[in-house]
Amino acid sequence: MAAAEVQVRDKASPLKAKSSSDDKLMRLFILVIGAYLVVALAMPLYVMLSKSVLNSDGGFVGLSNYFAYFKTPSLVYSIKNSLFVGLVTTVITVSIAFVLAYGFTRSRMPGKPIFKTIAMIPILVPSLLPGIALIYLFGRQGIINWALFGHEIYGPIGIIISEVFFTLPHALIIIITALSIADARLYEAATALRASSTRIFFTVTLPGVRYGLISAGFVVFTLAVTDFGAPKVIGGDFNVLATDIYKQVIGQQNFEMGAVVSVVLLIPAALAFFVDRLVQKKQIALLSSRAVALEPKPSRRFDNGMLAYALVVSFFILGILGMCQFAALFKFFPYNLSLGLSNYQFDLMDGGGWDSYFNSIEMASYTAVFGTLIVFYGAYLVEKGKGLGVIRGAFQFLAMLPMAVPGLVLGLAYIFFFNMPSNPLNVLYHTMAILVISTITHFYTVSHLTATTALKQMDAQFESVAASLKQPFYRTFLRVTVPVCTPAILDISIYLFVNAMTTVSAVVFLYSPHTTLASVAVLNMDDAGDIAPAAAMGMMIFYTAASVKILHYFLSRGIEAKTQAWRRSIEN
Amino acid sequence: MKKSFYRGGSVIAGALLAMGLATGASAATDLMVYTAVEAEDLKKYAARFNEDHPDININWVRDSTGIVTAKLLAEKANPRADIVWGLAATSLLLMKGEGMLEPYAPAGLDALDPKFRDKSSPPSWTGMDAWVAAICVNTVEADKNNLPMPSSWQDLTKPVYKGHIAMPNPNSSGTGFLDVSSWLQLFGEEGGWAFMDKLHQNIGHYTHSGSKPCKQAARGEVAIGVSFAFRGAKSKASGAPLEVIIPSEGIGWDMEATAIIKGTKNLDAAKTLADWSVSEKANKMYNEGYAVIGIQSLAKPVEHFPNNIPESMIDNDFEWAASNRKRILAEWQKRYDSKSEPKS
Amino acid sequence: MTDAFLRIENLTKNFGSFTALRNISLSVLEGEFVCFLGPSGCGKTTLLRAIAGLDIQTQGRVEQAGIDISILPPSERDFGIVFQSYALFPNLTVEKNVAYGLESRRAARTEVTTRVNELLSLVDLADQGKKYPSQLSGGQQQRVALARALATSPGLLLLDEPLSALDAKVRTHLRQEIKHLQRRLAVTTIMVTHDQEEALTMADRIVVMNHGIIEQIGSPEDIYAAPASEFVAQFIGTMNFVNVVVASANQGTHQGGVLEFSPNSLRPRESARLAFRPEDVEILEKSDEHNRDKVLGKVVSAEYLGAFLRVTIAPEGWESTLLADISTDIAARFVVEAGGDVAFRLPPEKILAYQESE
Repeated sequence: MAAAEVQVRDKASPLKAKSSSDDKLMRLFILVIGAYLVVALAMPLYVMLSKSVLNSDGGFVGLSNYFAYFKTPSLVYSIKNSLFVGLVTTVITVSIAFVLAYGFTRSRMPGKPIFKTIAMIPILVPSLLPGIALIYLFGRQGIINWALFGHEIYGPIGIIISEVFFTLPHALIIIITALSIADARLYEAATALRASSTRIFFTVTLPGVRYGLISAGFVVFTLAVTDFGAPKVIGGDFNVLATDIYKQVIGQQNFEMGAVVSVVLLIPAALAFFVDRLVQKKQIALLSSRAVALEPKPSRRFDNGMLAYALVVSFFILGILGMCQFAALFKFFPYNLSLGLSNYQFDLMDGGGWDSYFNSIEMASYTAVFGTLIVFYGAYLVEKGKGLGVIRGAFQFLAMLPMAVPGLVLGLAYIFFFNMPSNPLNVLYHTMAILVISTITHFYTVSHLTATTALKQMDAQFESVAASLKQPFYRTFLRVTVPVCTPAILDISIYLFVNAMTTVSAVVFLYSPHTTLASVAVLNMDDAGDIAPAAAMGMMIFYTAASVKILHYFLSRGIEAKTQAWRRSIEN
Repeated sequence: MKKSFYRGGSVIAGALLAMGLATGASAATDLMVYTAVEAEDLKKYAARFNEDHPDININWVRDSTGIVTAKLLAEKANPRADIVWGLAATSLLLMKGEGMLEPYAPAGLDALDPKFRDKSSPPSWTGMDAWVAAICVNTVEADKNNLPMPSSWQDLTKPVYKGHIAMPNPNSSGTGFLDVSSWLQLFGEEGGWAFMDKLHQNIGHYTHSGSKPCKQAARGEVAIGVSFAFRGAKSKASGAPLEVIIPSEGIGWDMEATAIIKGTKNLDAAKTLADWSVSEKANKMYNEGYAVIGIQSLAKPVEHFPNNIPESMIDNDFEWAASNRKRILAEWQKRYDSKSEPKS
Repeated sequence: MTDAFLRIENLTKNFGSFTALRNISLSVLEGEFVCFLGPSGCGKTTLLRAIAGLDIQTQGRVEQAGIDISILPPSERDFGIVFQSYALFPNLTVEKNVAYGLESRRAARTEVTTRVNELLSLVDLADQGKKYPSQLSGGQQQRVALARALATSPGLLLLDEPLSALDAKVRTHLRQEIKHLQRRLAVTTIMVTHDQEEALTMADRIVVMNHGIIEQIGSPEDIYAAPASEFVAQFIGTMNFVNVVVASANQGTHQGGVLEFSPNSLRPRESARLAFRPEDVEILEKSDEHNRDKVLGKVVSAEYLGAFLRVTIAPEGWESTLLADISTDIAARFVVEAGGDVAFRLPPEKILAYQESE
């Protein structure tokens, strides 16, 4: 009878599994990692959004800040300017990247690895650097300023050239991926039907990469609209949203208006982000279909054409970089072009001197180490965790969010949140820790996606097997998950390191006199008119990021060789 | 090593969201010093001070005058600075009005030129040196563009200079503000704005910092930079083809000054620094870059500095400038801001 | 029932509004090899995962070795599991994979080594211990997975479609190997499969499942010879179906006449489906006049399948064709060939009747 009663009670409420100590530990971890994103992202953003409807004394004023904003013509004008720069950059970058990617995937031009490497260089420099090079090239004293036919480099022209430089690798990666998944059988079929190569291009090639192009477009647009380095250095009197935030906050300490501009900037960025997610899903659907890899056929004219094109693009990138290096070495441009290291005396300049360089390395190292730990573990718990489904879902959402939040907005949100007298976490304000936390958070999404992808490729049953063998999840995590995902883990750490070295946007609001950073020093030296030392520091960042990247390359190669025996199966 | 360990600790604290680990103890007193002194001088200033007071560790927060001022005002409720060493007297007057300064008569106050101290007793601030407006003209660029050498402010409004002049935005730059306030005093309220309207026609761009126009002129990025004499002298010394011109109407100037922030937790250390900042040693140090200093009897001529500076300095009404600062800046922004550099 | 090793009572599993398992009750004896057989989506894997505690049931009770394990997490249950994907840890050698469950149990290292070697020779891989999984064939990998699952001597071995990823030949071979191993170790085993041949050859008892319920539990012979439902009849082996209207306890009429079947509880005038296997069709001499069950038909097609012919016959007056498996001898003797005539009878004791399903 008792059993029957139990039965009745069971009907009312579904059974709940008893949790093992292992499960409890995992839940604790999920909560901790969830708390990280709540504190490092959700709460600051919330505080920032609420600031935009408060006055400077903290009183609620509804939308009056927004009204004030839209009544200020010079501020509203920036919206137009930002959209203009964003759209033009998008069109130019995506076009250049498409042709280059086409050459990489569909031609047999020689030297592809070298050209690909060169095309990735802009990732390794702060977005301020191309602007500085452009001043030397096209400024009043510019070496080739005749090439602008009297146009002014300060303003939209300079911003757009800088943004094209800065966004090119991002677009290129996406479009190369899109072009690489093309199915050779489609081309064979089209050729068999005697379609002309032009027709094949428009009926097979373009439709095949359309999602890639759309995705690249949105990524470039977001980057160009939210970037602050280029317009800061070479924008002249051409105001954009990103510089407006900076101007309101740093220039006038008008935090409320800064919050309003942030919200305005958040809209296009968030919009672009959601469209991109949508498109990416379709792209993935294309990816999973079985395709026969396309082997380009040699064609001397086409291959040479593509080679010439790649040379031009490489010349542009290396030219910018080389100009910066010379700018750093010229003793006194343009009057004394003898070379020397006097511009490397950073300690005599604004921006924190050599300390800022070492701070940057320190900050980037912490970001790489702690960021990788947090990101990978977070992704693991979302992907392989058990229990607390709602929290894991919310975590996944939060992990995707940083992509849609411009760095400046995040930085401002951090000021609001971490400088609140009532917030016990305000001990972090002005520390290295807050720079590290903001940088990890700023670059969370891409890292998270890298980790998730790697984890998804692992057998879903590992955890079940481990449980049946009565092994705690963390043992399997350390002995199996981490070793198998080592390449992805290295990728994440290098991505975080390089970005921490070059980023300006979030940290520009957060550094303190002890924690000045190299990238911010570039900004501040340029601000003070010390453009040559700014170039020198920018190049220091480049050399550091490049060295680490090279180190990473050899490290990955070493690991690959060492684990070749068991990795073969994963590649199959 | 110790420093980096401390930072490491704070990172861990951040990562674990633990609190309290981030506070490190140290035997020396850390003094948070806000300043607008030129970056290249900061190390020197701190080092000279530490020669006499090794137990006080100076943590600089440096930015343009306008920024430092705005920052101090913004932090009024929760001040992070202990003392200001090297900020425009007009800014300090503003803060005095807000009740943010701790009045203090440093030892050696009497030796200072009476101009170089707050009128109240005890004074809220004490002066260090004067920094004076000047025009930096790149002689090479001037020749190339057939620009005559200007000798007065009014000269700069001539159409020939159109697009060749850079000047600092007074909203962020102390130099910019002293220029604007001096023109309003020299030419009167109406005449001043009329002058600036015409000058605005010739301005290529406004810069964020006061030294940038002169540095740009030194590089030939503009022909003429409205800046300050110290910067011009420095750039000239480093080999730039510059002429530093003191306009005939007279030049605006401001003092770099020292003031203790009310509510500092390190009042004793702050007083020590305030005492030192008016000492003879300090004044000689200021004199290495500036021709006009607090104890003028100690002053020696500074290389590349025009000689006629003291007599060209206008009779600057700091009180007026400070009390009208907000109005002047708002007016300026309304009239000219669209040509400002991104950072206002 | 008292000595059941594993007892499942009234188990139900809902995924949202979808019911994957409906009130399942089942017992497994100690040392028994039980197969859960059914088409995909029938709930067999869900049931296995509930037994393992990997996806806990919504309601119902699971008892193993007299202990209620209904809500225990997997790590507190006593089972080893093998998956279709092998789920071998790619970065660990075969040895380390097998030792995975042993090491943290604080067993001495030599003990672990001995046990690993023992297990590896058990699955015939004694010399492969130092290799990585990717260096082994699929069949070998699955044997490693088996060794790993058995390493801790679990009371219950769960096999989730263990052979589905392998090619046919390896599959047949491994089928026997697993069976032998199971016999030798006498470990209670539950295997999930959608392959009836696998189930029939390996299991002591088969649990046929469909749409979240158990259609039949029985020995392979029972299941084959006496399918308890039309679904089982259709799912296991090949079956001919004829729709009839019940005339009496053992007779039904259809267009082709009257068919006798083994007695059943069907009521007259009910619609029923008669089922018989192709090998139960008895070929007669065309001129045989004595047999009153004789049915005449045309041979539509004949398919040569080695030991026998599979013949499609269109009986006179029937609405559908039927399949008959005829040994080549008989086919020659009675001249059964495509396009020709044929005579046959259906032994009533081999004809099963099912109530027509809706």
